[in-house]
Amino acid sequence: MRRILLAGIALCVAAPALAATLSSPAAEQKAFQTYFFNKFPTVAHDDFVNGPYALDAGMRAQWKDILQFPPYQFSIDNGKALFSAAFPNGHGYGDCFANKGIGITQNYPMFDAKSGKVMTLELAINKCRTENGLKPLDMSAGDMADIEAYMASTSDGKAFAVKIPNDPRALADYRAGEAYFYTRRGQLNFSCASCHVQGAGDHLRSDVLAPALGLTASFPLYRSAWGNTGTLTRRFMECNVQVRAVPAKPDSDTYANLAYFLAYMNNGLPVGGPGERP
Amino acid sequence: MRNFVGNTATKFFVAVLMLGSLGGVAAHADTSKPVVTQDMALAALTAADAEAQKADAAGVQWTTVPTLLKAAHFAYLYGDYSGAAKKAGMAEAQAKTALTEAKEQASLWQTQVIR
Repeated sequence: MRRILLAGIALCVAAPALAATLSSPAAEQKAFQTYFFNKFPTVAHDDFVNGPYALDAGMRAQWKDILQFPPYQFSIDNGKALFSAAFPNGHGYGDCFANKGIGITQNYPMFDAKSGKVMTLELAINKCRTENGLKPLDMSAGDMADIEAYMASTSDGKAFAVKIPNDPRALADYRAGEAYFYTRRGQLNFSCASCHVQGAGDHLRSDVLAPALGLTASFPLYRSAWGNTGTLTRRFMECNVQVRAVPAKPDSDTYANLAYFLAYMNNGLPVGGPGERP
Repeated sequence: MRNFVGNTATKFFVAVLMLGSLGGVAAHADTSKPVVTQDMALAALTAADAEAQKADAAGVQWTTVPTLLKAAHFAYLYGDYSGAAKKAGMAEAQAKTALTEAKEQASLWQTQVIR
């Protein structure tokens, strides 16, 4: 009897605390977007997908000049050729996606009820390949980034519409991505949020830290630092190394869940990819 | 001749003093520096490897730990047991800190969530 009484008291104390810490994803998305809209009141909402260029006039002017000849155009062209080419078995990438893969980037990552896992566009492209007897592509750059660049270009301007279905596994994946985003790691004891929430708009040397809102909306990116187009996975791994944390595997659930959380936060913003960054 | 003897005796005396002081320094250095045996270095490496494996398994490893461990094993291989033990000790400490960081963050991250 005493144990039941104690359990009851513990439940009464813990339940409101748990409810406070775990609000709904929709409520969190609204709070997340409002935070950045208030922090940067002069930035147009859709402009958040342009990262540092939305915050720094000098960088924006240079970016506009760069876009006279977009450095990612080669990736789009190569990606289109790769995407359109038939596999040896006669099928193609278009056969693996809704609407033949055209104009669908805004829906990714999506939860795959069959596998019970989050499917990023990169994972979906590789799944398509393996199902058709081909080897998976390197998820960081090269052909993968080019195919993604082409697919993103067909979604240009479409609003992100990432869904969390009524499935406890989908919610668990969203929560895992959220936890990863806010968890400090590495020798420098930084979280993703350290730079992209608390530090958003600040400078790290000459770099302007992009806000977390819209952070993943312009991938894949041509980065001058890379000298080519790279994927979101590549950037995640690079960020990990920058804070001196050993990165996860490119095709890990960790990165898929993180991409899921961030893309869900982007909902309503336009697809900006492929993009360009310093 | 007397000068020569005197000079030689002085030089000899100074040389003896210098050698003596060097010996003293060496003796002092020997006693202040703990001797690391092969077994001690191996034990340090084993402990560091174990701790690093825990951090790896938890997915919270720092990039500095594998680098230190590699250097420690390299030093051991080449007979530098003191260097091996020192680097292994640093790797073990950092792996432990990585685990502590993760343990602390397991619940602390929630305080950062935008609500």
